[in-house]
Amino acid sequence: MSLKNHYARDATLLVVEEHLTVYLIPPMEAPRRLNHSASEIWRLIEAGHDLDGVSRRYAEAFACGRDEADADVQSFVASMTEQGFLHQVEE
Amino acid sequence: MSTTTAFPKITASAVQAGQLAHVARDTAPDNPAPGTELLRAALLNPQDSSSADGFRVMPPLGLGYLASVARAHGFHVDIFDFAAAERLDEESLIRCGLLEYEVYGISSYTETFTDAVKLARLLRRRRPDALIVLGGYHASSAAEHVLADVPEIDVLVRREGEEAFTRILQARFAGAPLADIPGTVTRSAAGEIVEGAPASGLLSLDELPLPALDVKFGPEKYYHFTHAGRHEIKETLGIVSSRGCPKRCTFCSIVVLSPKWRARSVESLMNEVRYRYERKPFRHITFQDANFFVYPPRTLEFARRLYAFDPDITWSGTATADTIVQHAGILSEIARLNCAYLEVGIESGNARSLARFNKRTTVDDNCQALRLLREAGIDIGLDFIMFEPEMMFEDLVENVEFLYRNELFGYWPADHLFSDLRLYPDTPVRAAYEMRLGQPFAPHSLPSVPYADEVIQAAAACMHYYQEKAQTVTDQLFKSLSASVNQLLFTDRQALEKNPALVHLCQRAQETIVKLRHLPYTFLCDLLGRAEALRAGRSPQQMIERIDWPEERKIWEEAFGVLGLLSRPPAEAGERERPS
Repeated sequence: MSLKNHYARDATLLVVEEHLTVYLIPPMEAPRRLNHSASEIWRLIEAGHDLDGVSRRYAEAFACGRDEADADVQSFVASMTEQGFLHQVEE
Repeated sequence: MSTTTAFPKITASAVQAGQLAHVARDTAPDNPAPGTELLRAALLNPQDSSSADGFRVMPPLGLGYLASVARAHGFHVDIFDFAAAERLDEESLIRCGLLEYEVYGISSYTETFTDAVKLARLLRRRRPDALIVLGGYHASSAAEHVLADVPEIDVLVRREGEEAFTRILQARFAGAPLADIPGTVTRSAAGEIVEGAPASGLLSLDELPLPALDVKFGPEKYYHFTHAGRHEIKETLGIVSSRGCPKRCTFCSIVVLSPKWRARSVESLMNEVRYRYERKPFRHITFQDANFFVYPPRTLEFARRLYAFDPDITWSGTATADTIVQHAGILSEIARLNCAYLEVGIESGNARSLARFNKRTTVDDNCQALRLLREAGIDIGLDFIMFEPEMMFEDLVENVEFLYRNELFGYWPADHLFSDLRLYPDTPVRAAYEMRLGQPFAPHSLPSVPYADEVIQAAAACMHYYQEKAQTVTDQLFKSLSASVNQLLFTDRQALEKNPALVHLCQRAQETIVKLRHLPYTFLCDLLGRAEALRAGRSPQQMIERIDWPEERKIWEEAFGVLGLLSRPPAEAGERERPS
């Protein structure tokens, strides 16, 4: 997974945010609640940043190292992609 | 029949043989005296008009134990559960056939005491010669006051009541005096209060018969576990696996009833599982214990044996944060073995309140326990006391921050946002306030005491006002919308699959549910931001009128709109809501 990639949410997904917590509501399923760090990554992706930008800003927000941030972001994106909530955007 | 003989062990041989047939009404009891079945007794769970939450109505297993022991001694006993009844008057008592009994046993918590007394008075009016017995927590903790204040009640049973209630029936059957039955309090002919000897000791839980589950009158259905992750609303079996609690929290009245934590063996639990399953299969077990997770090796062994019995049955129980942290190593294993949910006595997010509660747990323990449960994939049930009289404003802020930091904003039900310390009779915290104030509280009350910090006093008043005026609306909408969505997702799934517009409507309903969940948290945060106004002593009404609930009104309207669309037949609902 390249950190230069951009991702976008699946069109069927409904997203709601309350108290900085993001909920994903897929069709025909129960909502998924993202924890605070996952919510931050989701917001950065939705703001249009590529994964490198997401990771950089995430490291700043959570005061962690870049390696840790990269690992968190990649793992989150992989999980969301596998569940069909995110897909890679053609450059 | 003598009432002073040793209470016979009813079931040891049956349990050892793995047979629990005496539980069933149609089997012969163990050597009853001839004719005992002619004495008809009713066990009653009163209404609970103090609680607005009818969402988790549990079967009255305490009464079930009393019934099964009395039945094992030959008596005819029926259970009436009015916990969720909307009204209770003479007409409704006649309609459910309650006036045909000779002995009535009513259970009581302090919260339900007023309802229990109302029931006793209705019965006394129509059945002047019947024997009316009161048991449960309130009867145990305020016995002398109950008999002094409520002439309609003849006898009180203190603490665990299986032995005492059966002995009362035996005495009534034999025409013997009721005085001196261990574990009871009665009145003498002269009207003096006479306390019997203490009960002859705590019964071995493995030797008790299984609780009777047949309820002659009760709610339409009892609690069904909703397993969101598996898209299932599950047939649920309630089990009591232990009594009492080894902790000594200052506010807790559990130890009044069962002073020592005792647990059933795994063998006994599995006997119950097999016995119940053969008669009515279930998909989930809820342990209705005060503290289920006290001895983790027992929990683990049970989980393994249940999984071997049926790997699809999930289960849930109760725990304390320190035990979870100490036994973190087994959490992933019990989660794999289908532990779906643990209710945790967190109680507070600030160290000073935890110390006053004698929780013997730190805020870090609480955070760690919640994190460990999440990592293991076990859903969390939250027990939390938001307001207590000694707290300062910074304690309240820490409580709210704790909820936010631990990802509990949006947790529903939101009762914990409004909960304040209750001073139950016979608890250390109540005794301490009585000593400080120099006088006892009214015995049947759950008294309020002044808060040390006027801001906390005002904030608690605001939250209670909000709960009464706004949260009731939010809760009702939440329940209605959740029921509609669950129906579509779990039951009418095929209809949903064929109707994309309805799918979208269902998503919108879930979006609204999320917003409803967060409303009271937003209100509490707004309130904390208005500390100066609180300090200025504005009344809750003034405070709330200033806020004007614009957010609430907006979300309620949205919820009503979605509910209106969902209440149409599926095809029509879809016609009216196109995705955009």
